[in-house]
Amino acid sequence: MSVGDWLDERTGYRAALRAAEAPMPGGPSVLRTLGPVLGFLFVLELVTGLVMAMYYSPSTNDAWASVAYLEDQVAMGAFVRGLHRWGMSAIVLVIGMHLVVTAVSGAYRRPREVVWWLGVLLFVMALAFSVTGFVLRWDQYGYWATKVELAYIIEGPGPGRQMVAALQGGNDFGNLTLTRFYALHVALLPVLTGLLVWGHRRLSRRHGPHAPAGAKARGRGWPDQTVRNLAAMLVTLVALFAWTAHRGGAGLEAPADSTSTFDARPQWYFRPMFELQKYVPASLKLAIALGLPVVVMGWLFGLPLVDRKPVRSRFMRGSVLAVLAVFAVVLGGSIVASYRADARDAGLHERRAEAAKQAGRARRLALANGVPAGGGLQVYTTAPFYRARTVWARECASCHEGDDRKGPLIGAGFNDRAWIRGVIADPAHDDYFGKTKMVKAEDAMPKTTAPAADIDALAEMVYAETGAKDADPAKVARGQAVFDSDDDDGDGEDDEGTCTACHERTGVEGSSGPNLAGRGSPAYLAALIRNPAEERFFGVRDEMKAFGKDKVSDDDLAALVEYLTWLRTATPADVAALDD
Amino acid sequence: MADRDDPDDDEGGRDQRGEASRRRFLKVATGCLGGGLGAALLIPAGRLALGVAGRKTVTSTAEPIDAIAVEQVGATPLAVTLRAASVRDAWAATRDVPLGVVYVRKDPAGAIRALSGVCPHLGCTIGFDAAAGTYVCPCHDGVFALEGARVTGPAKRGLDELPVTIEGGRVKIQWIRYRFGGSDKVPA
Repeated sequence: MSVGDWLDERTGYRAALRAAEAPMPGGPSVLRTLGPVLGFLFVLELVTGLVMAMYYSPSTNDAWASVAYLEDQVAMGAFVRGLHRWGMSAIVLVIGMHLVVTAVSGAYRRPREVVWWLGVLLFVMALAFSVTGFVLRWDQYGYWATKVELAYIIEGPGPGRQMVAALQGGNDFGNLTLTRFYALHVALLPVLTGLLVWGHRRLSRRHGPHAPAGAKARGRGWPDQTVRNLAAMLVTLVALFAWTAHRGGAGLEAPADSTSTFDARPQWYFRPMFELQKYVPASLKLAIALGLPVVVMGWLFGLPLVDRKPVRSRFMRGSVLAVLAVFAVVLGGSIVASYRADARDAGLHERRAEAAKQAGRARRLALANGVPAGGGLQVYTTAPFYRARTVWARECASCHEGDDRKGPLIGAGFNDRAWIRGVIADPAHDDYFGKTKMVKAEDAMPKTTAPAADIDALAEMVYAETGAKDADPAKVARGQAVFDSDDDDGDGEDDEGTCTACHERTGVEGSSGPNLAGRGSPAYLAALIRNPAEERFFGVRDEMKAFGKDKVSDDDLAALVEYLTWLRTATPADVAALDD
Repeated sequence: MADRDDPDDDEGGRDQRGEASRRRFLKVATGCLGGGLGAALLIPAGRLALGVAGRKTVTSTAEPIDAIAVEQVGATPLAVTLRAASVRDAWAATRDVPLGVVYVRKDPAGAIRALSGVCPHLGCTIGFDAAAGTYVCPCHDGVFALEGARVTGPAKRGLDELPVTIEGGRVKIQWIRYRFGGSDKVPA
């Protein structure tokens, strides 16, 4: 007994092969490949989904981070994820074609009604996969798109709120939403789909290929139809690969942020529900969003019940074609109109560009630093000087940045040689103290008239006080001599308004101008921020607020001083890069 | 003349032979297409599934970790949990993560020594039996002497010693995980 005999006795595979070799009514056809192509696409979703599940973690802390990891740090991750997403689109597209072919040919008619209904249910399953899968990425797109979808159910008739509570697991989006949608997406829906596919195939085999009455039987299932099926699958796969490569994968926006706004648009196959609302009064919008799928699905389910005459009437055939034409125009037209409306919306483009920038920033930080245990949004806290920049934006920026500021401009190069030289040469310049009231006082510091080399030396002296390691000692000594001399312009006569009249350069004594000892050093900056009205700083002339621990904690202050010190050696490009 | 129901019922043996070779070609083509499709799907999926197998996905700082003050260390081993300032675990960056237990003691010559608390047999965490003055692994009753040598049990080597540095009155210990099982001390 050969192995083949042994196996045949137990499986009957030879009879199955012979059956597959039987002639087909109507013959092999490209139109008959749509079902097999769908089977192939479901397998593709299963395989890609399975390997992605090896990387995915369904919790609000980890979901975005794990997808970003897959996307940016695992070979083939972005590509496989792209195949999974666009494979879903392909499924909807091919289901649509399969439904149209079946509806036009009348293959849904007796005795194939149940085959048809199982097929329509598979369409519903595909859409359920799409909805449950999209939230899992937990980025801005998946989060907001799903939130809006659930909001429709809440607003809809019946126990919408209770349904959503059951679906999302409680009162709000969160960990339980992810675990539930994940369970539906990777366990319940695949099992249901598997059962439906099994029934759909089994029944369609039972009834055999549908063909017009009197069609000649020719060709065979195996291999004539099989080779067509595989060729169609190959074409589908090549198209899917090309599209995925063209789109650069599935995309991943910034981590979900419930406090932000995001222009979430539905998937293209849900676009009609979104777009058609624009053309109706507000009171009808919900009816459109919820009614449209009911109308389409209702028609599909009801079709075999209406078309029941033993011989298909020309009227019935014509009305099916008419309804399909209306669907094509309304659904297809609204999809096209929706994308065109978006393309014309300049504001949308701007917001999308901003969102893309944010997404790039979040993903770069995740790649470089990992995502902190607090979740995707915490990734921003790993940015350089994050803490200092937060304090800066909250407490400092209004007076030290932009044209409406009241104090000196503080940015790249703050307290470097050029900055200090600038202040000495022209303290009332707009970039320095020009916006303050103190420069308008009668005894305000005047422009320095000393020779350029002397100003350079003075600047070097003050620069050395910041603690910078690269100060030139000889120049510093010269600066100190110029500072201490009463003849600043070097004309051999004592001048009015010399440095020493207003400034100390040692100790902690106050005078009418700030004491320059340690000026710009971390300790000096910290003390000045805490109390700028101290005698050694601005004293009675002070216009800057004091920042006590209630406003800036010790840790915040340390971070801020570190940032201000970094600014000394930073270029404008370095500072701009902090926001990229 | 072939059977009327035969789909390949064209007349003549020549056409039948041509049909047979056409079908043979189709079967081969089917096999190639099917194989190609399978490969196109399974190669990316397989690469993704195994993509991280050869990578260090869980990492922490390699610098010695501050463990305990020098004056707290005596002749009796103290169990100290070494904590990493930060650990990268795939996508997550976590702070202050316990890495493992070390036993720190002063040897008779007065030098501070640290033994990894990871049993060299199968990696369970060992305890110290103060009464007997030995380390005991709860998993398979491995017993180790005070200085780490194997006394009884299934382990093939004694406890692994970890590098110790003293800095400013603090004991710093470098955490290294060694492969368990063998008789050689090899970093995992």
